[in-house]
Amino acid sequence: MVVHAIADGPDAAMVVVTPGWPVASFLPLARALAADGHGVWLVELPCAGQGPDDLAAEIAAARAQIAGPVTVVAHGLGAPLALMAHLDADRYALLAPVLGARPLAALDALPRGVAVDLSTPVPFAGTTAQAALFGDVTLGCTPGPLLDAARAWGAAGAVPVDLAGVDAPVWIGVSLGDAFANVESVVPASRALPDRTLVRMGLDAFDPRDYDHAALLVDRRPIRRLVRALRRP
Amino acid sequence: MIVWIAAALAAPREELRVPTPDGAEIGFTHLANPGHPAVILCHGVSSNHRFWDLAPDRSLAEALWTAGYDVWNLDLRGHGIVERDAAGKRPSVKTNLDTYGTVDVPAAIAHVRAATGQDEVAWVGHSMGGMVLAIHLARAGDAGLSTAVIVASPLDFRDPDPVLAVVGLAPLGPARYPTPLGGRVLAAFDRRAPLSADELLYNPDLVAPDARRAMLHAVVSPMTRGEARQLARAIDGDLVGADGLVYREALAKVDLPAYFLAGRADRIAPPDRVWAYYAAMGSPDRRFEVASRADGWTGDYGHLDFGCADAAKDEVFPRILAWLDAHGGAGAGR
Repeated sequence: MVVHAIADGPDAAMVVVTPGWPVASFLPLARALAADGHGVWLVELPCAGQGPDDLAAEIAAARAQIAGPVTVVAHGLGAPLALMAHLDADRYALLAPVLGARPLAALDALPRGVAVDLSTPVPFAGTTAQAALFGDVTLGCTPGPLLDAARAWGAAGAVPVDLAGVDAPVWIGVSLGDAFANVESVVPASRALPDRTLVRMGLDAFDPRDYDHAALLVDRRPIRRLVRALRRP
Repeated sequence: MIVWIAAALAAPREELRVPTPDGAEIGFTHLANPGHPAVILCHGVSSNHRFWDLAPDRSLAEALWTAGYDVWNLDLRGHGIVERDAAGKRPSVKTNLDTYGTVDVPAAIAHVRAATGQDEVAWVGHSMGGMVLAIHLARAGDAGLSTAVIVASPLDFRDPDPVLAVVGLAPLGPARYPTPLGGRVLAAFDRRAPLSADELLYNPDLVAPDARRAMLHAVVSPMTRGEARQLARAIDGDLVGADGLVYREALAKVDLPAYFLAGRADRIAPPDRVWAYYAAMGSPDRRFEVASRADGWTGDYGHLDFGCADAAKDEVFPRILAWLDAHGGAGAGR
């Protein structure tokens, strides 16, 4: 696990880099948070066969390195890992969080192993499994047990996170175009959170387009909404 | 062009006007297979029977008839062949989803059971066509029904998006919304409409231009202020009857086998709103699917794509047919 200090400042934001995702894909978000006055730390997780519990422990260890209150920012599979870590978080800001799950054929099509290289496109239904799930992004090494867990969560129809026990405010950004953190899984599950703000983004919010899983992380509009949501009154 | 389409369709079609107990009329376009399992098809809000019977290669009605079903393609009062009654009058502007669910739906089921002699019939509803079934099930139960296929029907309006919030303004509009005119305006755009207005209704990548124009001309019927008011009251909550009955909460006792389809690109009925209907049903025999590339479909389906998309005949109709066949339908044991 590596913690990158992006910016110094009050109101710390700890950004969890989703396993398998390039650190560079989180830089627009990190820079926007820094420009808005946050101290920003990027947490890059290892890829060597870790499962969800191992990765959650890594996130907890990263949190211990940051003094004072922290806003935890996460995307996709990084969100349940951050919640599993039972962090001392002031609040959470989650883009396209996998809070609920259902079976996805494209996820089943991804390769399996200890450390799975997702950079090689997997043909699927006239496109690639990666594109169908995530959109326009080139992924890298993803812990195989994490992917296996995601498949198991889908089969079970639930992610094993005690959402009712989250005692910090949670801001969530979702979009209809996200096939992976899909609305039919995330929205109903998120209602278990005691203090939650759900924001739907995309054409239904008069945006110029819907956002797929990757676009929710890198497009300036979702980033701007997240940053604005974190501004203190 | 509409006459040409009608002539080209293989199955003979008989139009029927059926009186309701309160003096209105519902309509059926009947594709007859006497002695075979009956299925009722029901359209959505501001639509009509043509949604399920647009063209030879875009017709669930035709596909089911070919597979051996006795197909009753319904027009709720004020829609399609019964947009006006025999005296030329339109239904009251107070007509709303409760009217359809408590009067038209049971009248339709009763008529088809009596006409066919069958104890149970199947129901396939798109959008409001599934919502009015929920109203019927919540109030009257599932007697007389063998199974239901619910396509793009929302039943939960919490966490509204801004577009849905705009629907809350609908009661401020006219007594009858000229939605057929709106359809013709959209059809006039050869390419995508301004502000992506067309993408609210369908996925332009999934519908050929000529079919798109035919769809926007044919499948739209006027909408009443009563419908708009009841839908507006549901925003940020639930669909509720005039007596306060929350329909989603009243379905736990319903034991009807049901198949739910939602579209990844459906902005009228996003998958989570359809999932809420699925989750509310008490039936152990139920299934939920999302028409999405990530689920192996050819594309992400929008609201109208289930009846009118280029690939609907290959992706949607066979799935509906398989469910009906597996639940006492014409192909039982196929």
